[in-house]
Amino acid sequence: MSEPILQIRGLRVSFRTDAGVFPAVDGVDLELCRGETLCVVGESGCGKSVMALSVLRLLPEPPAEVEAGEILFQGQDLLAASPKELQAVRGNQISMIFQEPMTSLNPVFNIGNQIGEALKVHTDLSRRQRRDRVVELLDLVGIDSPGLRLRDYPHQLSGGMRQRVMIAMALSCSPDVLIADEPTTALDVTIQAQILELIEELKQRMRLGVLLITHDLGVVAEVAQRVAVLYAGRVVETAGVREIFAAPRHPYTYGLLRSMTGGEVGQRQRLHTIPGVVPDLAERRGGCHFRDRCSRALELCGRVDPELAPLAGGRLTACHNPVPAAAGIAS
Amino acid sequence: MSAPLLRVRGLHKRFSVGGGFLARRAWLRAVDGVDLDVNSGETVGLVGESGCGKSTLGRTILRLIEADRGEISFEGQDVRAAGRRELRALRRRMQIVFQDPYASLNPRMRVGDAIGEGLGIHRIARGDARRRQVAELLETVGMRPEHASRYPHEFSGGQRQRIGIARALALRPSLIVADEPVSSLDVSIQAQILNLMLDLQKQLGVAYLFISHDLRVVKHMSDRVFVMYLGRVVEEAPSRDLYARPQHPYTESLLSAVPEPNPGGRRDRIQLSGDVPSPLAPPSGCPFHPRCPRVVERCRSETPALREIHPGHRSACHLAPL
Repeated sequence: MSEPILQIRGLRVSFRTDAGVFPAVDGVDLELCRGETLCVVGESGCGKSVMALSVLRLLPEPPAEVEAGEILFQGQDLLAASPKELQAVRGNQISMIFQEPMTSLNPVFNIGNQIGEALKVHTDLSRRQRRDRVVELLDLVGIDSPGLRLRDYPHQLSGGMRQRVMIAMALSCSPDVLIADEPTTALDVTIQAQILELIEELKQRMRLGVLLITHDLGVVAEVAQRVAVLYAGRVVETAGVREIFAAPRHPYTYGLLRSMTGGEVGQRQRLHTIPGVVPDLAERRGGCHFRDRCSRALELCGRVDPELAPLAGGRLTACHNPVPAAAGIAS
Repeated sequence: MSAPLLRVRGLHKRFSVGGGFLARRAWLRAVDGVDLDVNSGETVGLVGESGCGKSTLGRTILRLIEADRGEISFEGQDVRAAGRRELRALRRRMQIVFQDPYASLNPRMRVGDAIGEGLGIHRIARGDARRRQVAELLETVGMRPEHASRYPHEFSGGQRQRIGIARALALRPSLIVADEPVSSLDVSIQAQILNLMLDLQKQLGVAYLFISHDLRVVKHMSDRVFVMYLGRVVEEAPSRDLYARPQHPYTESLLSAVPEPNPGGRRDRIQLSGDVPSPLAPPSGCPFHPRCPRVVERCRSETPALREIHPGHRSACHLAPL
C-alpha cells in the first residue's frame, strides 16, 4: 500500500456543557492510504461520527472543541488551517456523505443545481461545462437519463437515488478522500448492496481513500481492507480486515463479533452478550473504558490507560490482557 | 396439528393517498391478500424491505388498523367481528412490542405505571398486588424492582426495550407481535434482547410474530419465515429451508444482498436493478417481474399464486422449484 494520505494523530474532541467538559473523542490515531477502505466501526456513542466530522471541522464549535491533535492531509494540518484554507479542501479534496440523504439535500433546489454548486465554488468551469460535468457525474453514479434527471428535486427520488446524488456531489471535484458516515444505514439491503458496490467501483477508478464509518460488521467484512474499532472515544484495536475477523485480540472486538447473529451460534440458541452498556460520557474515568464490561479485566486496567500497542502482523491493540491469538471466534 | 393460534386468510388493507381539491385520490395496497398462520409457542418471522406492508400486517392483526377484507381468527375467535368488550379481552392475549423504545413509552409515566397499566385496565391486580407483579415483571426482563419508580428518559435504549417487553408480558399473552424490536439497538444490546425473547418463550410458551427487515436476525429467531414484497407473501417456509434453498427469486436476491460477516468469503451477488416499484402503481402480473433476473414472458401478465413446492415450503413464482 502507498503512503498515507490522511493521518489523524492524538485527536481529542470535547463537548462543553453546563455539567462539565466531556471528551467524545479521546486521543484517536488513524491513517488512511490512497485506494484503501478503512472502516471505523463502533456502537452508538463511541465517537465515530464526531471524529469524522472533525476532519473537515464540521462540528459546531462551541459546544464542540478540538482540544488536541493533528489531522494531516497532504502534509497540511487541517486543525491549524484558516477558514479559507479549509474551504479549499472541503468538498474539493476531501468530501463527505452522510447517513440520511434526504436531510443532506436541499429540498428547494433541483439536484443539478446542488451537484453543480461545488463546481461553481471550486472550479472556473463555465455554466455549460458545469452542466456537462453534472450529467457525466450522474451517469457515473448509475442514474438513468441524467440529462433529464438533473431537473428533479430531492423528493422525487427514492432513498437509494438520493444517496447516489450525494455521492455524485461528493465526487464532483475528484477528491482524494471520501468520508462516508453510515452511508447505507437508512437503505434496504438490496439498495445497500448497490451503493456499496458503487463506492467500491469509484474507489478503484479514482484511487480514492475511503473512510467508511459504520456499526454493521457485515458491511465491514464486505468492503474494508483495514478496520479500526472504536470504543468510548478511543481506538481499541486496528488491523487488516481478515485478521480482525479471524482473531480479534481486544476483548471488546471479540465480544462484538461473537454477539452477532449468523455467526457460529446455532439458530435459536442464546447469543454471546457483552454485559452492561457503553459508559456515559460523564462516567468515563481513567484506566480502560471497557473494564467494567470486560471478563478479562485486571487490577491494572482500573489504573492505567492501555496504550495502542503493536501485536503480531501490524495489528495494534489497546489492552493489558488481550485475548489469546489462538482463541478465534468459533470457540 | 391442532388449530393454529392465529389464522389469517385473504387479508386486505389499502390506504388512500393524496386526493385533494383537484387531485385524484390514489389507493395504496399495503396488504394485498395475505394468508398466515402462527402456532402456539412458535416464532414466525416476517421479512421484507421498507414499504412491503409487514408492519401494516402486524397492526391489522391486532386491529390497531382496521382491515378492509379478510379473516383473522385468534384462539378460535373472530377478531374482526369482535365488539369493544370482546376486543379488549382479546388484547389481553395478544400484545405488541414496537421498534422505537423511545417513542413507545409515555415520557410522563413512571415505568411501573406503564408496565402495570394493563393490569389495572383489565382489573387483574391493584395496589400492592399490582406493585408486586410489576416488580416480578421487571425481574423477568432483567431489571431491578426499584426501577418501577423511574421515568423512561432515565434508561438506555436496551433497557427501554426491556420495559416495552415487560409491559407486553404483563397480561400473560399467548402472542406477541414484535415489530422490529431490535432494529434501533446496537449489536451487543441486540444480542441481550434477542436472548431475553428466547428465554421468555421457553419459560412462558409465548408465540412471536417477529417482524424485521434484518434477515440475519430473523433467521436466528424464527421457526418459520414469511417473505413479503409489495403487500403480498411471496414465499413461506421453515427457516432452515428458506435460507438454504430459497424458492423465489426475490428471496434469493435478498439473501445474497445481506452482507456476511466473513471477509473474503463473498458469494456471487445477484444484483437487483432499480428500486422497489411504488405500491401506488404495482406492476402487472408478478409484482417482482420488473426487477427479476429470471423473468419470463408469463410473469408480465399472470400473477403467480402461492403454491406448495416442498412440504411446508410455498412460493409465488411461476418458475418454482428453482
